[in-house]
Amino acid sequence: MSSEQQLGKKRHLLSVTNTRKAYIPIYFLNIVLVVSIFYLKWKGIDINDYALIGAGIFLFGSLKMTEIHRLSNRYHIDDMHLIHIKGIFNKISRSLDFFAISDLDVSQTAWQRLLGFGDVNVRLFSKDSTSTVKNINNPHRFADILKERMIWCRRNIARKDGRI
Amino acid sequence: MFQANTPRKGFSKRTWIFLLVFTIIIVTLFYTSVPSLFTLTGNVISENSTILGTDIAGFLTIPEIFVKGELGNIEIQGNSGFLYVESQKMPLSNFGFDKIILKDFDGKIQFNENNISILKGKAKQVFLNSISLMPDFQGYIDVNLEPGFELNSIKIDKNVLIKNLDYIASGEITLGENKMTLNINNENVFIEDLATTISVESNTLHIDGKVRILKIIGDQEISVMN
Repeated sequence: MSSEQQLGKKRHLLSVTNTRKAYIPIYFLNIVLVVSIFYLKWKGIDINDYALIGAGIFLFGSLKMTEIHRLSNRYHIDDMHLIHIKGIFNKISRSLDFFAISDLDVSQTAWQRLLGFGDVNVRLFSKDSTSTVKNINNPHRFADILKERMIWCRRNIARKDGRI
Repeated sequence: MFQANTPRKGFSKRTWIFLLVFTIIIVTLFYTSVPSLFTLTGNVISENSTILGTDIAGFLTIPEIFVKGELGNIEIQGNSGFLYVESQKMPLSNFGFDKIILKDFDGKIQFNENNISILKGKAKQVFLNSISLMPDFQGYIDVNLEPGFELNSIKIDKNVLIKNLDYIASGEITLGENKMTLNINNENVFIEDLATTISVESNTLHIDGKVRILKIIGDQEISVMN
């Protein structure tokens, strides 16, 4: 047993969070705001203090919120489960057993394809049907690893049962 | 937890709120810093309103001016392009018409030192070189001047309120009851709430009215505020 497991922490084969690329439109708006402020300053125009404070709060708040949002969604693959942990301080964890997964696919919009991120739709046998791992980098690689783990897991169980 | 795989339908409510906040901030930033972007240059002063300010008269470089409303009688000199009167198209240059008079004009005009880019509205009478185009017409006549009309002079009868002017100007301004004269030479002139008659002649803007805020920023800074 590894020291990590001894401490009660579970070892994950793969851990991902939402990619920052998903927040590029927000970063773009922030850049527009910063460029506007610099343009006004460059033109020697006095900027109203309240507007400047508002812009500062918006910049700081939006960058902070995107980071909080990004880090509040973590996806892990361990030996038997796909786990989604939501939240930073208050955490909710949901595990999907590999046996509950029927199949999966990757969906990407043109924008996502261009930037190399996307969603992995995980279909379940149960009526809950589909769950989505959203906005992750290299979704195909994530899906491949997930599929490999599912096959490995099912083969292992079959071997134990003596079916193989 | 894992989000259901529903197709994305446009922006979410959160995105709309974010865009709204962004729009409010960017508009506030520009509105408070460059108010002239959002205000029309001028409007006609209503007959009942009183304007408090310092007397101002003089001539300046012509800025881009936009005025709208009931502007009274307008006299324009220049002869290029076409004047559209109701359904008629009047070629101005071909017939040597160089003076347009619009009686009781109600509409909008935008011009600078070179040309009139907008003149659109209605007038009770339209004269070309003192000839009435529609002498028997009752009511208002639709008038539209082809954009790019080369301007020699323009005179607007009524007082207009110019909310903001901020430009590099040259000329001469006489201020107050004491008739203090200021010579301006390529200096930044900032005006807020200028109620004046407007006439443009010999490439200068002639003003005569009252001003609430005037700042001239050059070698020295001169400010007049009311």
